[in-house]
Amino acid sequence: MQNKLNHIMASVAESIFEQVAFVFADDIGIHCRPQDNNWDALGAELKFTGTINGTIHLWLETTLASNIALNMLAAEEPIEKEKAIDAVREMCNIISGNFITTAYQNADIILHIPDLLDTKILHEDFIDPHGVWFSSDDGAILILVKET
Amino acid sequence: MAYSILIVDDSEIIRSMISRTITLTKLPVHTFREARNGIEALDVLNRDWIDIVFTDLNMPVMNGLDLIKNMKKTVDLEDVPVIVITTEGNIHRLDELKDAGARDCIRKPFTPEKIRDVITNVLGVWDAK
Repeated sequence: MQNKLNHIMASVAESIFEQVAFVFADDIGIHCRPQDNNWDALGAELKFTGTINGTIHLWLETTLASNIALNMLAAEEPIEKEKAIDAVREMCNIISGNFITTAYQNADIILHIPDLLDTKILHEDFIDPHGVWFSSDDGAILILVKET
Repeated sequence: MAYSILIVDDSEIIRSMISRTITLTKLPVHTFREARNGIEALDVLNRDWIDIVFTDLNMPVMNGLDLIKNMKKTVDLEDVPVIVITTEGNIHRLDELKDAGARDCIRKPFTPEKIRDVITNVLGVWDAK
Protein backbone atom coordinates (compact mmCIF):
# COMPACT_ATOMS: atom_id res chain seq x y z
CA MET A 1 0.00 0.00 0.00
CA GLN A 2 2.80 2.42 0.94
CA ASN A 3 4.45 1.79 -2.43
CA LYS A 4 1.22 2.61 -4.23
CA LEU A 5 0.75 5.81 -2.22
CA ASN A 6 4.36 6.82 -2.87
CA HIS A 7 3.95 6.17 -6.58
CA ILE A 8 0.85 8.41 -6.69
CA MET A 9 2.60 11.06 -4.59
CA ALA A 10 5.65 11.08 -6.89
CA SER A 11 3.45 11.64 -9.92
CA VAL A 12 1.25 14.31 -8.30
CA ALA A 13 4.13 16.22 -6.71
CA GLU A 14 6.23 16.25 -9.87
CA SER A 15 3.32 17.76 -11.78
CA ILE A 16 2.51 20.37 -9.09
CA PHE A 17 6.14 21.48 -8.79
CA GLU A 18 6.22 22.06 -12.53
CA GLN A 19 2.87 23.86 -12.73
CA VAL A 20 3.09 26.03 -9.63
CA ALA A 21 6.78 26.60 -8.97
CA PHE A 22 8.43 25.95 -12.35
CA VAL A 23 10.67 23.40 -10.65
CA PHE A 24 11.54 20.32 -12.66
CA ALA A 25 12.62 17.13 -10.94
CA ASP A 26 15.87 15.74 -12.37
CA ASP A 27 15.36 12.41 -10.73
CA ILE A 28 13.12 10.56 -8.26
CA GLY A 29 14.14 7.91 -5.75
CA ILE A 30 16.02 7.22 -2.54
CA HIS A 31 19.34 7.84 -4.34
CA CYS A 32 18.31 11.54 -4.52
CA ARG A 33 18.71 11.78 -0.74
CA PRO A 34 21.58 14.19 0.09
CA GLN A 35 24.77 12.64 1.48
CA ASP A 36 24.98 15.32 4.16
CA ASN A 37 23.12 14.24 7.31
CA ASN A 38 22.84 17.91 8.30
CA TRP A 39 20.61 18.65 5.33
CA ASP A 40 19.34 22.25 5.53
CA ALA A 41 15.62 22.17 4.77
CA LEU A 42 12.30 23.83 5.61
CA GLY A 43 9.30 21.60 6.24
CA ALA A 44 5.52 21.74 6.47
CA GLU A 45 2.94 19.22 7.59
CA LEU A 46 -0.67 18.79 6.56
CA LYS A 47 -2.99 16.55 8.58
CA PHE A 48 -6.05 14.95 7.06
CA THR A 49 -8.94 13.34 8.89
CA GLY A 50 -12.12 11.51 7.94
CA THR A 51 -12.65 8.04 6.53
CA ILE A 52 -8.85 7.89 6.26
CA ASN A 53 -6.50 9.75 8.62
CA GLY A 54 -2.90 10.69 8.14
CA THR A 55 -0.22 13.31 7.65
CA ILE A 56 1.87 14.53 4.76
CA HIS A 57 5.29 16.05 5.36
CA LEU A 58 7.04 18.16 2.74
CA TRP A 59 10.69 19.20 3.13
CA LEU A 60 12.39 21.53 0.68
CA GLU A 61 16.09 22.32 0.70
CA THR A 62 16.23 25.90 1.99
CA THR A 63 17.80 27.29 -1.20
CA LEU A 64 15.11 25.58 -3.24
CA ALA A 65 12.34 26.92 -0.98
CA SER A 66 13.63 30.48 -1.51
CA ASN A 67 13.77 29.99 -5.26
CA ILE A 68 10.26 28.55 -5.31
CA ALA A 69 9.01 31.60 -3.39
CA LEU A 70 10.74 33.85 -5.95
CA ASN A 71 9.10 31.92 -8.81
CA MET A 72 5.67 32.00 -7.20
CA LEU A 73 5.93 35.73 -6.53
CA ALA A 74 7.47 36.41 -9.95
CA ALA A 75 10.10 38.35 -8.00
CA GLU A 76 13.75 38.88 -8.85
CA GLU A 77 15.20 40.25 -5.64
CA PRO A 78 16.16 38.13 -2.63
CA ILE A 79 13.21 37.43 -0.36
CA GLU A 80 12.81 37.11 3.40
CA LYS A 81 12.75 33.69 5.07
CA GLU A 82 9.04 34.18 5.92
CA LYS A 83 8.17 34.05 2.24
CA ALA A 84 10.18 30.84 1.76
CA ILE A 85 8.24 29.36 4.68
CA ASP A 86 4.98 30.55 3.11
CA ALA A 87 6.01 28.81 -0.13
CA VAL A 88 6.72 25.53 1.66
CA ARG A 89 3.37 25.62 3.48
CA GLU A 90 1.45 26.41 0.30
CA MET A 91 3.27 23.78 -1.78
CA CYS A 92 2.45 21.26 0.98
CA ASN A 93 -1.18 22.37 0.85
CA ILE A 94 -1.53 22.10 -2.93
CA ILE A 95 0.37 18.82 -3.25
CA SER A 96 -1.56 17.26 -0.36
CA GLY A 97 -4.97 18.31 -1.68
CA ASN A 98 -4.28 16.93 -5.12
CA PHE A 99 -2.66 13.77 -3.75
CA ILE A 100 -5.64 13.01 -1.50
CA THR A 101 -8.13 13.51 -4.33
CA THR A 102 -6.11 11.18 -6.58
CA ALA A 103 -5.22 8.54 -3.99
CA TYR A 104 -8.49 8.33 -2.08
CA GLN A 105 -10.95 9.35 -4.81
CA ASN A 106 -14.28 10.31 -3.24
CA ALA A 107 -13.46 9.41 0.38
CA ASP A 108 -14.84 11.96 2.84
CA ILE A 109 -11.61 13.56 4.05
CA ILE A 110 -11.08 16.96 5.64
CA LEU A 111 -7.81 18.79 5.00
CA HIS A 112 -6.37 20.79 7.86
CA ILE A 113 -4.35 23.99 7.65
CA PRO A 114 -0.67 23.21 7.00
CA ASP A 115 1.75 23.81 9.87
CA LEU A 116 5.46 24.51 9.80
CA LEU A 117 7.54 21.50 10.87
CA ASP A 118 10.16 21.79 13.58
CA THR A 119 13.63 20.95 12.30
CA LYS A 120 13.88 18.43 15.17
CA ILE A 121 11.60 16.20 13.04
CA LEU A 122 13.86 16.55 10.01
CA HIS A 123 16.37 13.91 11.10
CA GLU A 124 13.60 11.38 11.75
CA ASP A 125 12.05 12.04 8.34
CA PHE A 126 15.46 12.10 6.63
CA ILE A 127 16.16 8.48 7.54
CA ASP A 128 12.60 7.24 7.04
CA PRO A 129 12.78 4.48 4.39
CA HIS A 130 9.32 5.40 3.03
CA GLY A 131 10.25 8.93 1.96
CA VAL A 132 9.72 10.06 -1.64
CA TRP A 133 12.88 11.91 -2.72
CA PHE A 134 13.31 14.22 -5.68
CA SER A 135 16.37 16.06 -6.89
CA SER A 136 16.27 19.35 -8.77
CA ASP A 137 18.78 21.96 -9.90
CA ASP A 138 18.30 23.96 -6.71
CA GLY A 139 18.19 21.16 -4.17
CA ALA A 140 16.45 18.09 -2.87
CA ILE A 141 12.79 17.52 -1.95
CA LEU A 142 11.43 14.98 0.52
CA ILE A 143 7.76 14.02 0.90
CA LEU A 144 6.37 11.54 3.41
CA VAL A 145 2.84 10.16 3.39
CA LYS A 146 1.76 8.50 6.62
CA GLU A 147 -1.64 6.97 7.25
CA THR A 148 -2.42 6.78 10.97
CA MET B 1 -16.41 49.40 -15.94
CA ALA B 2 -13.45 48.44 -13.75
CA TYR B 3 -13.94 45.99 -10.90
CA SER B 4 -12.90 46.02 -7.26
CA ILE B 5 -11.67 42.59 -6.26
CA LEU B 6 -11.10 41.14 -2.79
CA ILE B 7 -8.64 38.24 -2.47
CA VAL B 8 -8.81 36.27 0.78
CA ASP B 9 -6.04 33.80 1.60
CA ASP B 10 -3.70 33.32 4.55
CA SER B 11 -0.78 32.93 2.13
CA GLU B 12 0.72 36.17 0.84
CA ILE B 13 2.23 34.22 -2.05
CA ILE B 14 -1.13 32.84 -3.14
CA ARG B 15 -2.79 36.28 -2.87
CA SER B 16 -0.05 37.61 -5.14
CA MET B 17 -0.44 34.72 -7.60
CA ILE B 18 -4.21 35.22 -7.80
CA SER B 19 -3.96 38.97 -8.44
CA ARG B 20 -1.28 38.43 -11.12
CA THR B 21 -3.39 35.72 -12.75
CA ILE B 22 -6.47 37.96 -12.78
CA THR B 23 -4.34 40.71 -14.35
CA LEU B 24 -3.38 38.26 -17.11
CA THR B 25 -7.06 37.76 -17.95
CA LYS B 26 -7.19 41.50 -18.93
CA LEU B 27 -10.20 42.01 -16.69
CA PRO B 28 -10.43 45.76 -16.05
CA VAL B 29 -9.50 46.06 -12.39
CA HIS B 30 -10.02 49.21 -10.33
CA THR B 31 -8.57 47.86 -7.07
CA PHE B 32 -7.23 44.67 -5.59
CA ARG B 33 -7.96 44.40 -1.87
CA GLU B 34 -6.50 41.62 0.29
CA ALA B 35 -7.43 39.85 3.51
CA ARG B 36 -5.78 37.00 5.42
CA ASN B 37 -8.97 35.36 6.72
CA GLY B 38 -12.75 35.65 6.80
CA ILE B 39 -12.85 38.19 9.62
CA GLU B 40 -10.48 40.56 7.82
CA ALA B 41 -12.50 40.01 4.63
CA LEU B 42 -15.76 41.00 6.34
CA ASP B 43 -14.05 44.12 7.64
CA VAL B 44 -13.05 45.11 4.09
CA LEU B 45 -16.49 44.22 2.71
CA ASN B 46 -18.24 46.34 5.33
CA ARG B 47 -16.07 49.36 4.53
CA ASP B 48 -15.49 49.23 0.78
CA TRP B 49 -17.38 48.44 -2.39
CA ILE B 50 -16.30 45.01 -3.69
CA ASP B 51 -17.56 43.50 -6.95
CA ILE B 52 -16.23 39.97 -6.54
CA VAL B 53 -14.49 37.93 -3.83
CA PHE B 54 -11.92 35.18 -4.37
CA THR B 55 -11.40 33.20 -1.18
CA ASP B 56 -9.46 30.23 0.07
CA LEU B 57 -11.37 27.61 2.06
CA ASN B 58 -9.00 26.51 4.84
CA MET B 59 -7.81 29.57 6.75
CA PRO B 60 -7.18 30.36 10.40
CA VAL B 61 -9.54 32.62 12.42
CA MET B 62 -12.46 32.30 9.95
CA ASN B 63 -12.55 29.92 6.99
CA GLY B 64 -14.04 30.51 3.55
CA LEU B 65 -17.26 28.63 4.26
CA ASP B 66 -18.03 30.75 7.34
CA LEU B 67 -17.14 33.88 5.38
CA ILE B 68 -19.79 32.99 2.76
CA LYS B 69 -22.37 32.15 5.44
CA ASN B 70 -21.74 35.51 7.14
CA MET B 71 -22.04 37.38 3.86
CA LYS B 72 -25.34 35.66 3.08
CA LYS B 73 -26.71 36.85 6.44
CA THR B 74 -25.85 40.48 5.62
CA VAL B 75 -28.22 42.34 3.29
CA ASP B 76 -25.52 44.53 1.73
CA LEU B 77 -23.20 41.59 1.08
CA GLU B 78 -25.51 38.73 0.16
CA ASP B 79 -25.32 39.41 -3.59
CA VAL B 80 -21.55 39.88 -3.83
CA PRO B 81 -20.32 36.88 -5.85
CA VAL B 82 -17.82 34.62 -4.08
CA ILE B 83 -15.43 32.29 -5.89
CA VAL B 84 -13.64 29.70 -3.76
CA ILE B 85 -10.07 28.82 -4.75
CA THR B 86 -9.02 25.68 -2.91
CA THR B 87 -7.02 22.47 -2.99
CA GLU B 88 -10.17 20.75 -1.74
CA GLY B 89 -11.40 17.93 -3.96
CA ASN B 90 -13.90 16.48 -1.48
CA ILE B 91 -17.24 16.44 -3.31
CA HIS B 92 -19.22 16.76 -0.07
CA ARG B 93 -17.30 19.90 0.93
CA LEU B 94 -17.59 21.40 -2.55
CA ASP B 95 -21.36 20.78 -2.47
CA GLU B 96 -21.48 22.40 0.97
CA LEU B 97 -19.76 25.50 -0.45
CA LYS B 98 -22.20 25.71 -3.38
CA ASP B 99 -25.16 25.21 -1.02
CA ALA B 100 -23.86 28.04 1.19
CA GLY B 101 -23.81 30.35 -1.82
CA ALA B 102 -20.37 30.09 -3.48
CA ARG B 103 -20.80 30.95 -7.15
CA ASP B 104 -18.01 28.64 -8.27
CA CYS B 105 -14.99 26.69 -7.04
CA ILE B 106 -11.54 26.63 -8.63
CA ARG B 107 -9.02 23.94 -7.76
CA LYS B 108 -5.40 24.81 -7.03
CA PRO B 109 -3.25 24.83 -9.08
CA PHE B 110 -5.29 27.23 -11.22
CA THR B 111 -4.67 28.57 -14.72
CA PRO B 112 -5.43 32.03 -16.15
CA GLU B 113 -7.88 30.32 -18.53
CA LYS B 114 -9.86 28.79 -15.66
CA ILE B 115 -9.94 32.09 -13.75
CA ARG B 116 -11.04 33.93 -16.92
CA ASP B 117 -13.83 31.39 -17.60
CA VAL B 118 -15.17 31.68 -14.07
CA ILE B 119 -15.04 35.50 -14.07
CA THR B 120 -16.76 35.55 -17.46
CA ASN B 121 -19.47 33.32 -16.09
CA VAL B 122 -19.98 35.46 -13.00
CA LEU B 123 -19.45 39.03 -14.26
CA GLY B 124 -20.18 38.64 -17.95
CA VAL B 125 -17.93 39.17 -20.97
CA TRP B 126 -15.45 42.05 -21.17
CA ASP B 127 -13.29 43.43 -23.93
CA ALA B 128 -10.02 41.57 -23.27
CA LYS B 129 -7.77 43.54 -25.62
